[in-house]
Amino acid sequence: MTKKDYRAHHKKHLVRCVVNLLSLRHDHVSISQIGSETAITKAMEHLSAPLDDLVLYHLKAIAAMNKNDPLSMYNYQSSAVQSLTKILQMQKEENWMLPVMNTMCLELRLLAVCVENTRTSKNMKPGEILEKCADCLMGCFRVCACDNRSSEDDTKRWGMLTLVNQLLKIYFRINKLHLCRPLIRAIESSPYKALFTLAQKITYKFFVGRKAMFDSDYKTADEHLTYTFEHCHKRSSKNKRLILTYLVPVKMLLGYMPKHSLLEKYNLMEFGELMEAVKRGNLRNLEKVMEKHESFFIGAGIYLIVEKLKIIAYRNLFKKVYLVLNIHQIPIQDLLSALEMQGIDDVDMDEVECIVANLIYEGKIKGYISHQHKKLVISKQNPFPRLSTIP
Amino acid sequence: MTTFIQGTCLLMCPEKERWIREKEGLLHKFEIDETTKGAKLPKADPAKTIKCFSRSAAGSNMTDMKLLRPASVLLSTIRYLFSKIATRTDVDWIIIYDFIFDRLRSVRQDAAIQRIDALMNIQLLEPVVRFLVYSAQRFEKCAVLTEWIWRNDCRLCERSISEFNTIINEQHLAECLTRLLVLYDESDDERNSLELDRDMERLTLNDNRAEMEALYILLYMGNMEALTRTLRLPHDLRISPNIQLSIKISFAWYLKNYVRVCSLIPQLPPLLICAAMTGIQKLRRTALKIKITTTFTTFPEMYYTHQCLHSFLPQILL
Repeated sequence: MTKKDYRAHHKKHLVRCVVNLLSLRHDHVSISQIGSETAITKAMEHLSAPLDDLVLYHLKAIAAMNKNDPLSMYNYQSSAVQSLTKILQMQKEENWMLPVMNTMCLELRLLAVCVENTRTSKNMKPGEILEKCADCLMGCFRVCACDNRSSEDDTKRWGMLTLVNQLLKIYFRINKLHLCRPLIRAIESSPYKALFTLAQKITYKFFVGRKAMFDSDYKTADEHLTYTFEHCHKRSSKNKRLILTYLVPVKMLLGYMPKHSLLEKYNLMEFGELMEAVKRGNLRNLEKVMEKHESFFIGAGIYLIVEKLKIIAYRNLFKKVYLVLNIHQIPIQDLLSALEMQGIDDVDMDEVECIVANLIYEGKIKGYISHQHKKLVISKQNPFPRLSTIP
Repeated sequence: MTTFIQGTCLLMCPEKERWIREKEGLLHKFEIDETTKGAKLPKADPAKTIKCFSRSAAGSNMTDMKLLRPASVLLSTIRYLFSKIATRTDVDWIIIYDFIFDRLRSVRQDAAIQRIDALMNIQLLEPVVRFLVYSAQRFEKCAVLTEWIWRNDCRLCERSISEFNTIINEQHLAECLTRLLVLYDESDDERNSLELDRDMERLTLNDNRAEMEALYILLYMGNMEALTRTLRLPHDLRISPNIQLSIKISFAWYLKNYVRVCSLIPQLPPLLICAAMTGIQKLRRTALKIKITTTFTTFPEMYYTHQCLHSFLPQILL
């Protein structure tokens, strides 16, 4: 080991020690005396500003932990993160404390989630603590994002992505998706965008993909979620399953049906039934499957995406009618009959015309409707283009 | 917590304001004493005068208890406005609208300053929301006309906008409705810690809530965020027929199935039809765009006539 290597190694070790000492998940918190008044006074005698505040709040958080009081524990941790923010602000041209920030911010968010889950007091609104937590993390984020004078090695901008990931997790949880956009923009314009660690990039792309899905930008969603799925560690099948929950419906909308073996492997058979119904253009069954697995789809937040699959099902059904009749002027009445054969009885000619009009408008059928003759006139060439080829 | 202010003014208008407005000749014609109608400075009728909306400004003390009306007075003010003013036929609706709009705004302001408790606030906001939805529909034809005139002559259009501003009406509606939804969510949370004597109150609350939630779904037809909220509503609300129907309509619009939207809307009760019709211009535009590129037919024309809308008063608002 060269001297330089040794120094780097030693520095890393020291930072690790600081991180551990300020973590609420390290072994030292189980020492019962550590949160006592005397211990705190003693510790304060040996520390000077600005570190003293940070340690004081950390010890108080431990004291609250011993009293089993998550709310005050959260409050102390929040104060600790705030004093850390001040310290970071003061440290110019150095970023060695970023690992400390990462750990403390992660623990702050976990605590906020814990407080939300055990919420007992009536005068606290749902999501209130998580929102406060987001504000606190934003303080850190601002310090990191503004540090653009330091050199690449020393800049605190390396800390941006972990914070963004924490914030994205919170915003998705409290359903404030519009707040994600500025964060995503900050990362997309960062010069280090491609250089962050893989784990961070995967988390980030997972949320960006989901955001794009809610904005109905399925191509972008597909791109990000596919990256996430392909790069996710192969042994973390729980995460892979979670990614697939969003990736599968997005892929289906774009015209790619998943293999049964894949769905079986990740225990996502809800999609299997869904896919069968969509493939066959069986609207009745599609509605039944959606009803049957309603709570799963709603819980995963994909019910609205799944609803869109109805359009694909209509397209597939009408294509089957075309293949059976093998003519290019299809009576609307025949399309209606196909729906009625499945037991759908609340549809009339006007509505079928409307559905067809939408399909033509979206480029899923090439043709036009002759309202006078009640016919769908389709193109001689490729009247039902492959979904994956539609721009 | 800071101490709450409780108003002590038991009339619809504080004496001081009535006095000043009488002296300055600022009384609305709905507020004057009929016997002094022709006089140069008509007298105010204390039973008819209602506190105006005024912005908080430097020097004005918004928290003077004598100038604030307690919740019960606010509620009866709303009732008076809807049963005695809204039903009048002797003046143009625009004058009625302006009057009620302004006085309701001051009701909301009084409620906000006193931080009236959630259940009461809900009772105050619900009729305000109904009024704004109803008005938007009552001006619908006027709005269509404006669009048409605008292309020919801008000056005419300006006059129309000064009479009824759709945007401002929409903004107030959105503000009141989101406030209401937040209040519902919060009261939802207290559900577990419920005392028995409040059960009855809760029951009627839920009834109105179904209407308001349906209203929200219809106003934001096909909107992802609104639909997401709807899917997460408590089960007992979700099974209410109005909400069910509204969900169907919203989902139909989500898939741009305008035919289904139009065939389902008439099944709604009148107020909800009004809500659904606020977005009808957008629906018509989209439907027409789709139809023109694929086929062409006439599009169903649907709205209430003014007479019909008038006959709904005041039940639709109360």
